[in-house]
Amino acid sequence: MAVEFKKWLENRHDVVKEWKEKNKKDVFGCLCCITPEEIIYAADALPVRITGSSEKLEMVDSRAPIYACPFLRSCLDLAGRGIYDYLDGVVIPNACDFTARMDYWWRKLVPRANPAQQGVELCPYVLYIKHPEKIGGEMSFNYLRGEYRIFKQHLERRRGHFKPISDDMLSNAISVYNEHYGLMEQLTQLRKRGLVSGSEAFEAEFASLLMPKNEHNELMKQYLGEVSQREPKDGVRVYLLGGGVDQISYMIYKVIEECGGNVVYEDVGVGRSYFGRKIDTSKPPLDAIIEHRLDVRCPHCITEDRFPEDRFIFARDRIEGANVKGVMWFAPLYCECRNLEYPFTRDRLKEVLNIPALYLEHDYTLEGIGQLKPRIETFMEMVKS
Amino acid sequence: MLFAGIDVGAQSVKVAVLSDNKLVFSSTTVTDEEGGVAARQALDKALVALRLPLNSLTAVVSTGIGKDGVAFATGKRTEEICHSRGAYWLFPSARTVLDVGAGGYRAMRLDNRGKLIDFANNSKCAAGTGSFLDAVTRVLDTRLEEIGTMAVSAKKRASVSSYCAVFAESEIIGNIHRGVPKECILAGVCYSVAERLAEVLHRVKIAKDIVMTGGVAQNIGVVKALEEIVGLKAKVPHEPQIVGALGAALFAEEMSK
Repeated sequence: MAVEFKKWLENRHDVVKEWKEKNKKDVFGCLCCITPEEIIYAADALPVRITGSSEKLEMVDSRAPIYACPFLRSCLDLAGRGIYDYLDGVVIPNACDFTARMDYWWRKLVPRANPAQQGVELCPYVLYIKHPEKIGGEMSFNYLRGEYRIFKQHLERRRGHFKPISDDMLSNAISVYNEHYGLMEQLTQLRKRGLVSGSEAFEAEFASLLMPKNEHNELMKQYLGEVSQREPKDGVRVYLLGGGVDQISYMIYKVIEECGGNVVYEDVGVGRSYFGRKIDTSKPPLDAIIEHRLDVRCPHCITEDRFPEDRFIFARDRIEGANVKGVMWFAPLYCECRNLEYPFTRDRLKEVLNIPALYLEHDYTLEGIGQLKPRIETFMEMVKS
Repeated sequence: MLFAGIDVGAQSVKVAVLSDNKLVFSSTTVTDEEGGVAARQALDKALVALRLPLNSLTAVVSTGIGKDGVAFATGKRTEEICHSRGAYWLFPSARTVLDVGAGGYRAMRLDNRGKLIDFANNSKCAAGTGSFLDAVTRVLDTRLEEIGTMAVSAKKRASVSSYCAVFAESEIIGNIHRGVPKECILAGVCYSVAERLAEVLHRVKIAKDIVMTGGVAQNIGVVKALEEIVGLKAKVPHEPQIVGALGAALFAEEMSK
């Protein structure tokens, strides 16, 4: 039977609850890809990505700022309504100013229906990780090492029982995650050959954010075998940059395809889109995970020597050899981290690669997709001519 | 051979017919009909005026917000592409085109061959659109055609917000209550529209010459305010509202080559 990833997009809460019921293991919700998932995996728990929904907001307006990221507001609204009650913990990194403050909002607004999650001193329901904002040199490495050690200790002592996470357990997690990164790289190569569309690739990637990577790896091997037999089919090749892309806003991939385009690669804060390489297995495992996360081009971070050039360099390295004709910048409203990078990156793409960029600000639910579609059509016509 | 372009906009349908690379007919029809029906009626009017049957048209290209509803069109192109093409045909020196219609506005940058190389559109707000000016006529009990001339005759400019169409309307009412002359309020309205238009122009990096198209280009108050803000003169075609249809007709001609 052909591998289908759609159920993870359509019924994400149900599939995770089903997995939890069957496996009797903890599930940790994570915001943003700078969360060190490998440590959670090594702690025998399932890291899942927290995302929002297209449902109308019910409770967040009266409690959190209105002029703030619509993606995070939606996540918080769902959490406040108890939709994420199945999570045993939430991991919040400071991926932007609002995300950092989700630590407070989550504690404040989210009902703790499960008594086991209340008052356990060594296992706070919300775990906050401060990722350095200035990246480079020993200082940022040592700082993050401190943060990850504390994070690891929390996981080891959850529910009041001490269960150590050994280096072997971390190495095993790294091996599973490296296999995942390798399989995603294979998928990227198939996209570049026109065998897999951008929306199909996103569906496969998104599923990996809601299931254990070892299970996803097995599905991916089967999937890659299936799709590699296809005939190439392609559209105008597009590189997608932005954020807040999940099971709702990924509709942008579909709209681009309807307009005759195809996203062959992206940098949208989800899964593979962030990771340029595998985790180094020659180093002590925790250090290797730290190095890997510091290598993520998170827009809230500033590299000592390359900002703001690094977003362009990251894009250039991915675009090379992919015959990309245009770049679409698809960022949510009020996402200053992403949007601050746009003017410089747009100009560099034009100057160096002669590739035009289209700026598309979105409200996350894509209610305004009717307004975006004609712009995408025009952009397609522009880059084709 | 005859080629037609039809621009189905938010408030009106524009038709342009070309023969031997010359504009032989153009019209603007304000209608409440559904896009496809309105487009057919507008084209029928053109054919009656030209005394020709429908099959005399070699190709018809539709554009505008309702382009998909024009069933008889042999092709369709987006507004940005058509306005750029039409403006460059009229003014080969055009490097920046600003189209301001009832439902939205957009700035386009062209290279020296007339190729579209960048564009930017308005956000969701109605501030800066023709519909906003339409709403102003109701509040100030004036006619759309009078706004521009009244605005340029004003001795002072009232303060009107360019941030939000609804807030702007509240400010206009406030100005009326304070006894601010209508001309001054309209000068403020035109300036607030121009401020919004300048934003999209700056996003594509303005280059000379600027050509303004769309119905709002007929408003001298908005054109003058925009020129003041960006510090450049704008070229305005004789019939700015038909430039999109003209561009579509040019594409129809190109298609048949």
